Amino acid sequence: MYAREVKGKKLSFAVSGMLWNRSLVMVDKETESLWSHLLGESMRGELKGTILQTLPGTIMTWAAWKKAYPNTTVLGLDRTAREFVKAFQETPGRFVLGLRSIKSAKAYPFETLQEERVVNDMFEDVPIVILFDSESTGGRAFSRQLGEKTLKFVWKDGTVMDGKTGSAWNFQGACEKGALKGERLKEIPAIPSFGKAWSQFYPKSKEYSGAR
Amino acid sequence: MKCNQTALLFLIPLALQLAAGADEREFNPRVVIPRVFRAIVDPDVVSLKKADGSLVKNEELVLGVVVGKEARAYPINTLTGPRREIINDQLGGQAIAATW
Repeated sequence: MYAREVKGKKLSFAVSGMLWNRSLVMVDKETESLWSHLLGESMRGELKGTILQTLPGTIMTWAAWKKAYPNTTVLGLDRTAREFVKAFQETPGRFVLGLRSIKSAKAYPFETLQEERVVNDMFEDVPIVILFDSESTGGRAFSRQLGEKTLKFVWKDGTVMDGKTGSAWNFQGACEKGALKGERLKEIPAIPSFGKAWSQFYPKSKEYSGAR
Repeated sequence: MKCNQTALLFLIPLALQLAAGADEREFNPRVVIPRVFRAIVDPDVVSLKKADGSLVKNEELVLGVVVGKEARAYPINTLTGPRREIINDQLGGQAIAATW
């Protein structure tokens, strides 16, 4: 999921018909530059070297999404496939949730996320938490920094809680109950991806290996 | 001689692999479908109520995004295939490309 405005110009992306590392190559209609779909970076043409801003796009079941965002709208196009039904739950080994910056990348295997639900970690210098809802199979990453405080989260009695105040948080990074009610964590764009593609595009990517 | 030829057969792919590894970023796209697809720009958008159960069912996956106060879901089963892999859209005042 990307912002598609570059240097004040709105770009329209299309499928180029090309693959690179078995992954989609996009082309923008305005400059005809070629872009790596996974890197979000232009690899050839006028805009070569430009990196698109990644937005936090989450993949989860429709049931969970509509519950979390009752005001949501939906793309009004018809189905082209029927295969993506709880794909993350049935074959978690194929997928990772990826974090990246200009400097480095780190992958969190869905299998581990499914097991741990709440992952407190550091990405570069930022304390982060990944919240994974096994029911909806959606994972999102947030900063654990809240004002001056650095929170640490636990998965307890089927709820995401912060260790300091015991407040209850939802998988959207909002506090629903307790001393911090109404607070919201800052989301960090995480990219749900096929594990194989991720390691091909980020050969130096670290991989989270579990809390223990 | 025969022995050397056999060795070459193994060594050439190995050498090519090493060369490829030397620059992981070498951009060498391969044309799979010799045409550029039409860009999908500002597609139709419907309400939750209208989509629910028809365009998308509970157990199906969606790619969801929130910009400002607006939320939008892109059912993964509608983003599949070369005609659909990228959706150029507007949300919360921002131009976005929905793709995964």
